Amino acid sequence: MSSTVTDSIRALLAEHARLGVDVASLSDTDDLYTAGMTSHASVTVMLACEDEWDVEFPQQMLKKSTFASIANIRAALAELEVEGASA
Amino acid sequence: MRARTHPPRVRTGCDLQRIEDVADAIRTFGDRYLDRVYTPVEQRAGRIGGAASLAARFAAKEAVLKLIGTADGVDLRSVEVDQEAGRPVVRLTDRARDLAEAVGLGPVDVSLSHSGDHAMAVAVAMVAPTTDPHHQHTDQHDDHHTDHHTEHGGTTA
Repeated sequence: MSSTVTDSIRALLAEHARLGVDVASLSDTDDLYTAGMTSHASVTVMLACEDEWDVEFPQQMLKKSTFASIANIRAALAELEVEGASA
Repeated sequence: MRARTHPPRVRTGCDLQRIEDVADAIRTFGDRYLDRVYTPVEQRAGRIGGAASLAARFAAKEAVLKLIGTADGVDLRSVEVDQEAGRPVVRLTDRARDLAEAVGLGPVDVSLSHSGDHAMAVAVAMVAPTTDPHHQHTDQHDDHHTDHHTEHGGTTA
């Protein structure tokens, strides 16, 4: 399953997303922008994901929705064929 | 029945950026961050003005994207903020330019500022008048055109 990837996403968000709330209080589908993530923070989250899984987000995936929730980030990583990201 | 014409309108976008967030991104991701977000021209300005200068440019990019109405699929480097004769100027390329043209955006003026912990930018442009030939004029509420406001506060055409 994808629990390890989800845990890693949560850890990256805690470090880089600068949320206004504890990431542990968010569900996988909660809106991260509503939780305080800025556009700039979404860029650093993207870079942190690229470092963590040695992938590169192509331009067409750089959408606000890609980083709008933990589930969306996991789906994007699955699209990039990150092991364990598929549900 | 007649076509409805939307008159030219002023559109604004603004953005606020924490300078420390930019400094932290530079410390953490270095050139990878700089090369993904800023053009060589902007990076040169950042070497002189530091994180505050880059934070103001990031805010300007976001402000311009709010004018356009979406950032989806837009390379941040396709909104370049340069300086000419002491004033900031915006150059749009690639998808940013295409989207701006699609929504009828005229030349973009931008103003930058920073103080203390934050940098900010305001972008302004005129949106060209548009005609909707499919609209059937049927009532007196025709002028009550409703914009679709993005979460950023910008508008879509």
